[in-house]
Amino acid sequence: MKIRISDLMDYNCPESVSLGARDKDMARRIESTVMKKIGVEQPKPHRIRKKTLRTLLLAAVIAALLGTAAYAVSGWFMNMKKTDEPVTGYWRAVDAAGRLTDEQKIIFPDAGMILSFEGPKERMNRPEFRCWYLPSEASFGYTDEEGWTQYLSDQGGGTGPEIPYIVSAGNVRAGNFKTVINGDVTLVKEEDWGDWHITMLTSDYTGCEGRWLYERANFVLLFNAEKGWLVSVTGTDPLDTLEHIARELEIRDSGEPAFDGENNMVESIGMIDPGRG
Amino acid sequence: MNEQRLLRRLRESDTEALSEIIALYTPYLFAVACNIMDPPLAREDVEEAVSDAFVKLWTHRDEVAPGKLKPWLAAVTRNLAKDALRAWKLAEPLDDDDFLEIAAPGDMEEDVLRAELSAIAREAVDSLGEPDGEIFRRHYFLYQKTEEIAAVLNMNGATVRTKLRRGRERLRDFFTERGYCCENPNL
Repeated sequence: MKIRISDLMDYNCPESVSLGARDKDMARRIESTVMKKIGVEQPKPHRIRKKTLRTLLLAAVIAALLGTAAYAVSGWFMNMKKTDEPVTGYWRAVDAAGRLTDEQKIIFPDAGMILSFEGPKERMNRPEFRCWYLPSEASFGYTDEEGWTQYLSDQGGGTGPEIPYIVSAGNVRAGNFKTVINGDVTLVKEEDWGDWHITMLTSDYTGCEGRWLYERANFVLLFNAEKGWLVSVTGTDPLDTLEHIARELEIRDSGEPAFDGENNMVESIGMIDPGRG
Repeated sequence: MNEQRLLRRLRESDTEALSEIIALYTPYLFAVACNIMDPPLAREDVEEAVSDAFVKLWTHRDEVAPGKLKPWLAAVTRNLAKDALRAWKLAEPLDDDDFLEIAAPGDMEEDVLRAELSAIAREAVDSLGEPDGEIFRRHYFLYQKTEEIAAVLNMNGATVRTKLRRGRERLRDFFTERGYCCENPNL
């Protein structure tokens, strides 16, 4: 029989050789083709329809627009990736000349999900919110006379494992800026509330290496793709309660530029599991 | 990423695991297919071959052994790329991809014979040591040109060609020693 040398090599893959540069667009095209061929409807990307809202009242009935602004931005994407491996990241800061001035390696042995973002380097003003529903009185966080704030929480008195809720609002950063959720993370549901993409998660910490105060925490993440805002409502309260808080949030542009003090950071990683402090 | 866990999820028909595998291996498989198909075929044809490799992975997800995902995908992609070339009656990309005339026992099934020949080829290439084995695999599995291999491994092209010739000789010797009469005047 006649046989080519290359055919004899069919199962002689050089396993240690790396080839090809990452190409997200091509990978997405191929993923789309493959999913169609195997008859699977692809999950929707975490991108929200663009609108030009200045303020969105999240309560379904009392949603109100307080003004409009035409922001010429291409928008942000939120990527969520489950992991069952420890996640290693860095905090890196540079000086004005781009020289590395600080570097810290951080390991999250209990990481269950990684959130990362893509989008413009420039960020919109910071968001702020006020709560029209809270299940218990907030013990931390300062509001102005009208109730506006960027952080509010009930940390449960600081003795037991409960941290009922923490509401926090901020701007996402694209590129090398990641956020981790620890534990065994389960996606409960995703919805769109107007311009906000809502992701509800729950995480079980019982199998974690580290010592966590609580066995379970819940997360309602509100992501605004047009403005690059992430508002998180996290805590040990039931997910329904946290969802109620989220639905009754009023969120607006604070008028303050985002992250003035962090301009020298070029990479960072953090976590959004509820914690005291 | 732990491949064993990915494969376990894949066997449980988790399409997210398939998406993760696609994100992970697309660049590699695209490069494998490109070496064979582009040129003369278009980039879209190359992507089609890579897509089909992942579809095959999905349909054969119970058959891939842990630790073997990358070579399995590479072998499937390579075969799909070669099939595409042959479907268009286009020439194989390597100038020195010689035919061997192998005299085999007449009562052996062809797929059994091919598996046997592949195993002997692997043994022969392993016996070359490194970097000669890698050079041979890069050329005859990944279809990299000699100059490309020379650049990657920081050698000159003549050295690579010499090592490839020695590899072909070793292949012939292995087949002959194992009772397969192997003939090719170019070896």
